[in-house]
Amino acid sequence: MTFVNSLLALLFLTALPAKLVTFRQVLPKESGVTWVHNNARSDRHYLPEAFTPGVAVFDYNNDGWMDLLFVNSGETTFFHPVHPLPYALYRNNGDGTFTDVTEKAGIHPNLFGMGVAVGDYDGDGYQDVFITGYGRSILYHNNRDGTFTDVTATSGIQAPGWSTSAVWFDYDNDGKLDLYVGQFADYSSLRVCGIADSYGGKMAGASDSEHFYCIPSIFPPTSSHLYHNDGDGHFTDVSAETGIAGSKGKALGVVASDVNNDGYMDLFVSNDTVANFLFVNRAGKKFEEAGAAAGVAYSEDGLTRSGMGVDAADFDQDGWQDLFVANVDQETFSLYRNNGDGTFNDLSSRTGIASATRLLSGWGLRFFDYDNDGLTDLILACGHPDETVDRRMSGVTYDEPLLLFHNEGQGRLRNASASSGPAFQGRYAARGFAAGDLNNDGYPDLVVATNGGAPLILMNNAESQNHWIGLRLRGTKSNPDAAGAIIKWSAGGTVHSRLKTAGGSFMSSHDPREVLGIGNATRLDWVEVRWPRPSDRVERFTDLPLDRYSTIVEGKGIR
Amino acid sequence: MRRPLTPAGRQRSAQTVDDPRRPQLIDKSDFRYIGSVFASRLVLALALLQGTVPAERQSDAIQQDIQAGRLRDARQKLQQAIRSSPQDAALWTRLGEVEVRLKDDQAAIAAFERVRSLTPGDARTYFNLGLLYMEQGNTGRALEMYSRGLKLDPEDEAANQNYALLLTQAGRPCEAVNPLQKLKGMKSADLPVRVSLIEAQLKCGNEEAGRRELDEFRQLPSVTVEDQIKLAQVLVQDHLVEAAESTLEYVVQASPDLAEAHANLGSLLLDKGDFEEAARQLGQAVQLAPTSAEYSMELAQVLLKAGQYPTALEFLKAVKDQFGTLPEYQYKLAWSYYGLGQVPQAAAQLEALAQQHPELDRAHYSLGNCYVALGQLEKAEMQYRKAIALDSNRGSYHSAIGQVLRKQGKVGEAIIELEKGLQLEPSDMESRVQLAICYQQRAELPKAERLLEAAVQKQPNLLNAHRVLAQVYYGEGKKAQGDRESDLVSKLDSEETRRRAQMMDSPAPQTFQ
Repeated sequence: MTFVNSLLALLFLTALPAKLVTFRQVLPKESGVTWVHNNARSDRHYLPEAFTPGVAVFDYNNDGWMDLLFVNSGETTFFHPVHPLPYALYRNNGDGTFTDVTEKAGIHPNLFGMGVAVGDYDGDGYQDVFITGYGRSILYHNNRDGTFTDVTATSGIQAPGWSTSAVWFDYDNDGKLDLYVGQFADYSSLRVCGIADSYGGKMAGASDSEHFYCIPSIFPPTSSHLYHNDGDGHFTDVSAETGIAGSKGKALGVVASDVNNDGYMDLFVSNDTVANFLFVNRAGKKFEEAGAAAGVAYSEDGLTRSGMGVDAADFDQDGWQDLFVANVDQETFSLYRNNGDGTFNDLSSRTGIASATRLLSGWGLRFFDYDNDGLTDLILACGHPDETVDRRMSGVTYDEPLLLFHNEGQGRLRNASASSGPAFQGRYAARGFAAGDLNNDGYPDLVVATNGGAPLILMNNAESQNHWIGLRLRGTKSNPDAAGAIIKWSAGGTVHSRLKTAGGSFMSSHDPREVLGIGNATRLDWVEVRWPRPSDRVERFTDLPLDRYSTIVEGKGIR
Repeated sequence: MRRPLTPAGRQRSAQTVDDPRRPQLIDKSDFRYIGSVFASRLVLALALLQGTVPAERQSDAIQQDIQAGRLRDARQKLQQAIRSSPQDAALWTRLGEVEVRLKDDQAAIAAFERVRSLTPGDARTYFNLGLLYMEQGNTGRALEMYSRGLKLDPEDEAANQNYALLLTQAGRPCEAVNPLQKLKGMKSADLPVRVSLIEAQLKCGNEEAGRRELDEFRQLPSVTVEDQIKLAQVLVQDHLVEAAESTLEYVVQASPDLAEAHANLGSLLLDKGDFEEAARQLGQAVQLAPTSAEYSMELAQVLLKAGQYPTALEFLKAVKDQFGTLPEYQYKLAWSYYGLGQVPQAAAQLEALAQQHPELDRAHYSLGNCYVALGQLEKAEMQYRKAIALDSNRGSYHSAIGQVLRKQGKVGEAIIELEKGLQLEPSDMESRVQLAICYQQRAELPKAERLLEAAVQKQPNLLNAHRVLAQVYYGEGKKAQGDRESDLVSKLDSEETRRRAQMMDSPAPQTFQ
């Protein structure tokens, strides 16, 4: 009887078609990405240890394949490694493997690195790299030959203190990428904490001599920086005159987008334990902090939260940029719907985001269309900042799962994590996160940087088989990265729209290309690009090939 | 002092009289004590004095009527007699007694007042009047009568007792000390007097004298351990926590094997927030009396309040065979799951509890809270509705459902519930803020503004109210006020940062209490 049952079971199992999972984990031995982050964790538990690292997905050598850059810890006032810890720049070989080219590229900052922001600040067609860190930050200029040069000293960018997320965007629409550098709290005291002022408060069995990561609320807020790109490789700190410096916060995440459709890029900054900022750009001259008035500064109940990862996108396709902010456990994350009148409503309860994230802490995240159905989905990379949280037995764990929400249309989101592959059953100390198409199949893959561990690379299996159009936009009159461009596309009569945001996630940089999903349509009607100011040029293309990447150069067409 | 496992309601002592509010025609020596936690605590001597009229002067007919219970006839005859002899104090006194028995307190007072005017040197008339005025709720007049009577007869035991009690009840413990000390001199072994004196001294702020009385009490040969525990319970009721604690500590030291003493001390420490010591004491009580559901549940309560959820869960699992069927056990088990962040398990536990005991409003309410935590707002709403159907007088229930309705976008219904919650608990600022948020969402900004302004006026440091108020002002186009609130928020935030920098503590979860 047992034998018969076993046999039947075997027959049944073999008769089932093989299930294709949405995302498949690629192991280091397969990809060659063997780098491991060192979080510099010490007995004294200095807070910067808990936040790192960031990651970038970008094409540093313009070979058409997305490369990877991972940030590491390094020498600073509270950490003195015997040998400098390696950062990692991996060149994509185009065959599913990567080669470590860090040394050759000249990226060895020995900086206590936090995150990375990528942008072509000098418009030479090659992506430059800004690495944020504790104590100082570094601007690397891409030499167009596979190497980088540290130009921080001559750039005018001096961001002391604790820099976290940064974003390249053109705030004054002069066609050049400016740089916002978020600053976390004033940590100059290097204060260490006992159990009483730790992240979770009381803990049974904690000794008086034991140190824990401090709750950030005990540190004073500080001002962030905005650097104007002067166009000659030099930047000027305009934080004060633009109003950015007037708002002291504890910035962890930043995304540049145009929330009021006035053609000027605004900034949404998530702050830890103080109000989030919505810097509304007033004609490229001033930023007006309108977080409270817009309803995105606090929770619905008027409480400050621990804002970490952020993003912006028109997720419900109503023509207005919506916002997302991740927080720590018990606070729930927020999906803010833009009402189009300067205010936002939090849809997290109605969309299931609140219940799914109640026990999670979110860092890297991204609005993206992982199945190319033309609708904006959402991925969240989570992990609790305090590695002792499991000892507190609050039901919250240090390692946490990834969450994937599928956009079902009409503003509805479905938690698709359970059916998205074994990697979504795992738990990670996720921090930085970047989405990017590593194998150029048109489906975004995922790169998760974990604190004190190896990165997690998840390849998108292109399950849906939906068609797509890949775009690499290069501004000529407008900023080189085309940040702020509005892309519209029509397929089978359905029109979609997307604003090319800048930044987002947490201390990380996504693949700068845009993939336009067209669902099960088999042909594209048209694609329209409205280049950001000062150009404002609108170009329409009807002959873009499906399922391929195309480069569009402003005013010069498809290349 | 310990919480009952059954729904709230203090058990009455076996010595409680039928209706202590009515004066009774009883012998002066027949004291009746109103039961409290301390069963023999000093209480009113409910004796209306008699015997003021010499028997030979009474009409036989009147006497016969009274004895036969023909009170109205007796009254009529007395009134006739008084018409002939209006200055006869004895007749007025008898009439007053008859009026008391006829439950006509006003007429009785009038009669005794007449007696007082005729025989102003008779202390007993004052005492009778004192008792009657007290019955009328006229404490001031009652105190006056006792005071004047005691000047005439300072040694009257019952009068001193009632006077002291009245003073205590009137919140004048310092004045009660003197009559109580007199009583103590009269009957030094009387425990109710001793207890009342300890209370009066301590309430009056005479710490040293109070401690002395406490020490004396402990040394009395007739005082048992049970008496000391009862004393501690009385002191807890009086909010004389330190004295209660020292009393219980004394008992615990003297009788380390007495579970009740450990349990009482543990409960007291729990109320004080000294969870660690409370858990130690209750742990000992449980060890000494492992079959006591009350002690075990109290120990679980301490662990839960202290946020020691793993230990609470472990303990509850260990005593499951003994107490697993108790609603209190199931509730606490759910609480421990909730504290551990295992909200689905907590919800499952509460679902079972609510099914077995659908009459427990608290189970439905907490289940609603679990559903909120799980983001299942419709289910939460249903449970809150059940809780409200069982007890519609709890502001917290209306506030909870109001918040859930708001999150579901049912703002109109939310407003109704939050307003009910506020009516029941006007001091609940959170409900006020939530109501304001509702009005804000309905774009009824002036209403929101009024509510929030009132909230911040009552609680100027209510940060979230200021934050929402700032948004409301901005929404109304009142930029200056919005900026003012924003500045205030920044200031309060900075203060909060400084405060947290000095001391950080994590609040206990509010969902279960």
